[in-house]
Amino acid sequence: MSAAVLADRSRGRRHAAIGMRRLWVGTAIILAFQLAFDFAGTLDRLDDYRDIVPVFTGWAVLIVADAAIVIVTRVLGEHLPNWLFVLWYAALVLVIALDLTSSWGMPNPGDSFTVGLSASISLVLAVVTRPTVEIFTAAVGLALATGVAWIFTGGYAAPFIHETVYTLCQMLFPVLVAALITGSFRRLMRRETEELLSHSAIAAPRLTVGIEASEQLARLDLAAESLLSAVADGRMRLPLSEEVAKRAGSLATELRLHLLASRSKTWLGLAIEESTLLGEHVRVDDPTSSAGLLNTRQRAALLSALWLLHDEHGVSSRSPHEPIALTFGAPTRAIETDHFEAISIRVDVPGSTRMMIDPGVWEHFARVGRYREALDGLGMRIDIHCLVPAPRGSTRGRTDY
Amino acid sequence: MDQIQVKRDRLLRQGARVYGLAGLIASFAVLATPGSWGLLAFWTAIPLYVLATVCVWMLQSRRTLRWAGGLLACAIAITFVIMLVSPAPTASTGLALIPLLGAAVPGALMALLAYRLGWFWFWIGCLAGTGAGIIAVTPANRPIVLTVLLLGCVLAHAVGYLLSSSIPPALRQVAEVGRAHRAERQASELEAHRRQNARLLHDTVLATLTLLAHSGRGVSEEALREQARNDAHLLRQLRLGEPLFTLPEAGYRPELVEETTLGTTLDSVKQRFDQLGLDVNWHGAGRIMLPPGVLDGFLFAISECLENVRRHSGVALAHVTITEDERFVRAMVTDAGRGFEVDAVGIERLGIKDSVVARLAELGGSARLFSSPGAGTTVLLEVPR
Repeated sequence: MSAAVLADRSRGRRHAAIGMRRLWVGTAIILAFQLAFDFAGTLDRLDDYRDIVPVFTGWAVLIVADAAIVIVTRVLGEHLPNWLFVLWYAALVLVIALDLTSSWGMPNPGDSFTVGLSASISLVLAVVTRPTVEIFTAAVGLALATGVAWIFTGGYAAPFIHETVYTLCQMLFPVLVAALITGSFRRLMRRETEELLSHSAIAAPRLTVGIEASEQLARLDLAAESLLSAVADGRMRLPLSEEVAKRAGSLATELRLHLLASRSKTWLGLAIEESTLLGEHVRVDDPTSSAGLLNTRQRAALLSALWLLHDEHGVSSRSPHEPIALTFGAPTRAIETDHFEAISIRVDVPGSTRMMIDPGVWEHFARVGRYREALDGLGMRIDIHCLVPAPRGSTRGRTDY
Repeated sequence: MDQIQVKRDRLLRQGARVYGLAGLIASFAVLATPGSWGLLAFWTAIPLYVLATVCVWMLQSRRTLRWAGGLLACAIAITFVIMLVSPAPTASTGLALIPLLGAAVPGALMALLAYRLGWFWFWIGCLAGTGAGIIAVTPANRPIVLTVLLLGCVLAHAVGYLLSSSIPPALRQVAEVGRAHRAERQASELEAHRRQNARLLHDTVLATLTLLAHSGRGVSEEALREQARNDAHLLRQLRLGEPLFTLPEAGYRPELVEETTLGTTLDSVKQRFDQLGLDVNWHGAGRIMLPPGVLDGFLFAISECLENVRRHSGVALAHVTITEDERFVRAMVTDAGRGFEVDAVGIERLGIKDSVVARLAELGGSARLFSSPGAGTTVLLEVPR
């Protein structure tokens, strides 16, 4: 299997968020009931059809296509390849066309539209595996095509117009609702996953290296190793060519930079940097790396508070584009005792009011330290004063250059 | 568990909002189609639809029960408006009422399923809506409308159940992913630590690379090859995760000795800077007992200071004086170079702050810097024993 196919599949998997299995199975069962209901409708109208071949062909095609999709999705683990989706969609279009042919010229087309309705609602089978936009487009396309077909048939007559509008709504809305609900489920899971992943950063030491930086260092090491061993076993002649010398020079510079700079990140910087959701909404200003001094409990509480603020910030804030700003002060000797240092943290939540902030936020802030909140012209401002244990040995000759 | 419930309720309310709105739109679309209701019924129903939409929209606020009740009242009012204002109930009356009472009402009431005994209120509301619907349609239509409305309620209940029962296993799965990620992060943190600690002191990779960057001129070819071989060996061992003490050239045996002497390692630092063109004079104690972790950090700090001397001081000689008392080991790195105004030059530019200060602070030590233009620079490093 080529790399492109694998990459494509992994992209498809991203749409299949965690925990979708149960949702998908449930949707399939509900759809099965809908199919049974509509099939009963077809049998009920058997005498009205001039020719029953198209409508039963439609049922056969639909059942085979849906069963194939169910099996493929199940086997591939909540994944549906593009080409199969297109093929399936073509089958659905065919089924609707067959139903339109068989109900052509019948007095009340909306009412006798049975297998076509099932075909349109079948799209719910793909809400787990395809992005919401695709499902929307597909469903609207089917309903629109059917509506246009009805306009051009004699059946679009005044006494039955309600029936046709009703049927079109039936074709469209279940699919849209399923897609939207799955979308919010997916968003919820993504947010949960990101929050949990970001929490893994709180166990880091005061200054840390990210996973990415660590991998980068390993890559640089490997490049240096191959260069050095080439020199050692004489594959490269000394003095080196200019090009190789330049490469050695840039490797040395990069390694140096890495060894010096990579330990400058705090857990908080890392947590925010590695989360797309949080990264969009939170900015941290921490020139003295004070965040690294917080203990694990304080870190966890601060991060949880940020996530709650993030939830509200995205939806209800008056200025969602302005990020939540965290400003850390330099640690100072606490007045109360020699064994602790004090750090001030200022949290600015632009465009927010006290009412808009989740009550849980205050609980979390209280766990970080003593806080005071105030409403300034731009939004909420929270000042936290927290105590952290002073680093060992800092009581004598502490460094502050 | 509490958190899981909060998430589940939020999802149910969001779902209820979408479901309810879709039902309202569908019902309104059917009602807005010109037909047998007459314009009066249509216009009277419009404000009620607006009100119902507000109720559905507000389902996400904290007073769910109240808004759900409001929606039910609006839906029943719409039903009676259609029944009373339109000339006579026809077969198509049911078509406007089914999306309203069979989708919008049960869909919105789905939000109640988040509460204890919520299913009870859900069914009370659904049956009230269904009852109103049955009264409004023609007798001939009643059996089919009743069936469809009840099926709609069952469907909404099923969707609500599906959503709320999907959340706990999904969150458990998320927790599993989180645990795996934490383990990975810890491993990578350890690995980075290992690489840095092992290399900052005991390898000469950087020095060798720098020599190679000058095409290896000015150094004995044999010596350079030998050094390259040692460095490549060290990197290989790091990569393969082999214990470093098997390395013959490195005097680094943390697994074997609790405390180690400074002497030989100081020599290696000295040699490294010799090759780079900086002469280092050692004074004071030649043998110092320090735990290996502390020793690493201490030596790293000294080499960083020497690197700064080499780069910025403009002289080729530095002095390192090592002293100790019962609690601390100190190193003083001095040069007679050009010096600088401590306040004027940002510490960040010297690159000391993060590397030296942070590293020593982790060990419980400290660093102080003294300098002025023309008078050279002195750095005082201190670690606890």
